[in-house]
Amino acid sequence: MIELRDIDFRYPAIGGFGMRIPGLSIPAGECVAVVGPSGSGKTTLLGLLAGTLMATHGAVSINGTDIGALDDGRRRHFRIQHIGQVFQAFELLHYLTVVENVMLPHYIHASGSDAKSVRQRALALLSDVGLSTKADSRPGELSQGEQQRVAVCRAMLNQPALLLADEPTGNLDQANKQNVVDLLLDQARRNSSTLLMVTHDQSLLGSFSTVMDIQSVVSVTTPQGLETP
Amino acid sequence: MSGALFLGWRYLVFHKLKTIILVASITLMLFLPAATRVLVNDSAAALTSRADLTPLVVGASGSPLELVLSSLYFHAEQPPELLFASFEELRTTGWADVIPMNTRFHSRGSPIVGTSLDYFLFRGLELSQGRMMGMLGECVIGANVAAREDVGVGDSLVSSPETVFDIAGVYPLKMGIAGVLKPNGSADDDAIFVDYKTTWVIQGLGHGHQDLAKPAAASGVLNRKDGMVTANASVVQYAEISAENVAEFHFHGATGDFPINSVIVVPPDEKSAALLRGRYQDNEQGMQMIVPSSVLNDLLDTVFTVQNYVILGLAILSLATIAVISLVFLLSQQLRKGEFHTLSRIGASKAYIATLVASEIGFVFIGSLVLAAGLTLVVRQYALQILQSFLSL
Repeated sequence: MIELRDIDFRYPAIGGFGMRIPGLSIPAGECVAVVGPSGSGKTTLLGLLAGTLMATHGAVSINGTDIGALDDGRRRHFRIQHIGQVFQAFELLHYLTVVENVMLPHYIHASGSDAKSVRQRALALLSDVGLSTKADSRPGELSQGEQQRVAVCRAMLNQPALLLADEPTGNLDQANKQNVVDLLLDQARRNSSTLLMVTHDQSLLGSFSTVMDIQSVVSVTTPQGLETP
Repeated sequence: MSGALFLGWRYLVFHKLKTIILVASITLMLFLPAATRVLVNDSAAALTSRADLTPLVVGASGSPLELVLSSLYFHAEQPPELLFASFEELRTTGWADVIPMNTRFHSRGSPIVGTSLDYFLFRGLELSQGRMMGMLGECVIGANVAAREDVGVGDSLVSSPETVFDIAGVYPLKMGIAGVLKPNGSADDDAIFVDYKTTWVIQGLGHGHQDLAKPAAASGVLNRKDGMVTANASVVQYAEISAENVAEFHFHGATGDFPINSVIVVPPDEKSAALLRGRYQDNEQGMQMIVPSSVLNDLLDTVFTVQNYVILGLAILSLATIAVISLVFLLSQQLRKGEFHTLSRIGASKAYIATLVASEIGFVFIGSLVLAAGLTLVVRQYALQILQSFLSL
């Protein structure tokens, strides 16, 4: 279960502006498409869930762990172990091979697993997405659709409880968009992960069991304390 | 944090050209001052150790440095000649052991050193094979000459003519090799030692030919009058001295007028040394007595001063290099902001990213340090050869 309770968040760089989430619960294993206009707080919501942004008030709980109560180091380790993230621009490291990119969470925090077994897992993931022959290629040698599939594998390496995808299809053509969404849904279901995917693309919403309009759960706050739904 | 080291290593391997340029720059920055210092110090030590073991040298007036280089290292532009009578005069004083040196000639680039057997005792030279030269025309060669020319006892070497156009000048002499010296890491390893009289034969002051009194040479005799014999060009001249013809070799003129280059003087005590030095103070016969270590110390003072300026210049260049390398790293970090942001979003801490950057810098510096140290060791290994190649210029 993913829960946000009485969240108040302020953007440090935009004095006074912020957002408030009175309450939000997403059952474990749910696949949710998050929609809403630009600036409505979709990416901020994902940041709060990932623990890269910290609420000034309230609690963010992922499967019973209040990530706001963890210190910085534990929160980072929790993120690596339990949260997978897919970004719009793939954000693969150009100097690593495809399989090394998938193993990146392991290089950041090994958490007791030996590199050999992690590599086996990474290769299995690549095989699942049809990229086993590209394991030793560089990201620059792959198409954009292939790069995003590698990014999905990276996010799934530690079989996360929560999979966050911030407009993962934003840089892809229509055919690849549906492929990546299908892949995300497939991986989430296989691992019983909760998936939150931010998208502007209405054509992809049909694949999701739940579509959440961000404006229905978030209100934006201004320096004057005004709230807009 | 081993993951950060791995990422740092992979980054450097991927950006090979950038890494090679950085490593090469830092290697040169470290290597050049170190090699300069090693080369100068080792060369100075090698030069002074031989000079320290040579108490005094007498030669014709002129450059003391040339005299030292020709007498001790057998490398110099032609030093002025000294009459052999000067050597005899020194010997008769009884104040010192004296060793004649004649280093004018060469054989295929190796100096031919005309001296006496006392030289081998004085330098503590030992044979690895054969025996010392026992006859006019025989030679004993240094270890490097034997290796370079692939020759040994029983083989022979031919002296090089001073000029191919001077047909009336120095004739090549075929010298039989009587012995090969053990290597001792000095100029002796590259020298061909002969008796000083053999150098006079090379110079044409002594020669060997058919005995004109014998019937076999009758066709070559043009005239006999009052004990004087005039011969034509058909008389056989010997280009090699052997046991069979050594008796036919002879010198024309007084040997006291024959040339040598210098005399190594080994006085038994300070008093004898002082007496000898006084004798050559303000010498009006065009001679000088020098203390080789003093001459070299004067040279080395200049070398060390130049070295300090060179190192100062290199230090300034190093500062400029460090500034450029720092700029490269800073610009690189700017370009990699996105990468670091991704790492941070996935879960990397600031310490992890700092370790990643530090590992890259560390790998580059360690690689450069190892390379610079290796190159410096190579320079140290070959310092003597480098020095000798400079001396032979």
